[in-house]
Amino acid sequence: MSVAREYIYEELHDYGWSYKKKSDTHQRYEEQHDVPHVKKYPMKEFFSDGKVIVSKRPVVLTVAFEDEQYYATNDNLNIFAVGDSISSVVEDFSHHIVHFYEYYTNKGEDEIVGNALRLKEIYDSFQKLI
Amino acid sequence: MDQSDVVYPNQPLVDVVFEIRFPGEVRVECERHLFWEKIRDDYKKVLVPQKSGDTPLALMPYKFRREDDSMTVMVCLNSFALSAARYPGYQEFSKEILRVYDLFGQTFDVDELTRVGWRYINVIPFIREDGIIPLSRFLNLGFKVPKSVPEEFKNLNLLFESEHEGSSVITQLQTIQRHVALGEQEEALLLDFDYGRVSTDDDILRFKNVPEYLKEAHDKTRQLFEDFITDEYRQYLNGDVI
Repeated sequence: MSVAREYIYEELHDYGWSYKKKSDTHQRYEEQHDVPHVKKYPMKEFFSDGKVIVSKRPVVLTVAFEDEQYYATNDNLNIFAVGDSISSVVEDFSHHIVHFYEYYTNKGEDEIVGNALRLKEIYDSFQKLI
Repeated sequence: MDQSDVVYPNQPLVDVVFEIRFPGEVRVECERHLFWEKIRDDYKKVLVPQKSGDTPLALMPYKFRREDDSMTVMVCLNSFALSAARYPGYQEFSKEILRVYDLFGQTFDVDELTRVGWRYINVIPFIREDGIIPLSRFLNLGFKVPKSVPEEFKNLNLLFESEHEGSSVITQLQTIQRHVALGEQEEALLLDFDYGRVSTDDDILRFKNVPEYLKEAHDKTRQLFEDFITDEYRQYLNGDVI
């Protein structure tokens, strides 16, 4: 809350105004909620180089912050992206998705084997909008 | 098992609390050790209230916590509550509530209640899209704002109370942030449901009926949560992801 807003609220309080709210159910007093430092973000749309790739199922970015860098990974897609901010790591992740989409969807099934075939199946289920 | 019993693998819950309040009962304040003796094997940690604000200490709960911090029993002069920091799902949570409630009832003679509450606090991390909160990906929430106001928000702080057949729910939706490093912050949506049912002259809440109130509180709050979230977000919560 800005100083100005706080000041206005204090002024209103001095004039007898108070917030009308019923009693609430106890939270655990004076405690921060235990929110993990590794975050998972579901995303379905990826933009890079003017291209848009859309996934039917959410792709989960597991984002961690370490040594002044953000890391976004997805083990299923073998993607490991790096950035110095949340937005730049998402940008890098999206760049990987678009790149691998182009790579795998342009490969014939007879050209690849094993894990590459599994990845092709996933990328084939994606849709390119632009 | 119906939909309301489903435990999502990617659930955003950070705290769930069930609470009953009753007219001040001094024995609870003076003899809380008798109750703790019955649960201390499971709730070994004791946290005492710290004075803050204008709330009298007697109305701030003693907390008896599990060693792994997963659940906390909170007791004070006029209330009894159980909170779960790692929600195990309704089946398991309600079983534990009823177990400690039963022990509480064996220790203290509480009959009338003044209020029954259920709190369901969710933290939904998000990444901005072009500087805007991608609200519609997570929540079914519509605002009627004037045409000159874009319906894409940079920040949110919304709180409203609604009536639901004898009970009320305070819903809070707010963007929250946490400092990560110099100039860097993580952001999330706080979606907090605070269900409450109060005793009235026509409908006096009784301690013996807590199992019924518990189910009602859970079912209504869970239904609200289900109504609030989009199918896209539910797909993520269900673990139907890549």
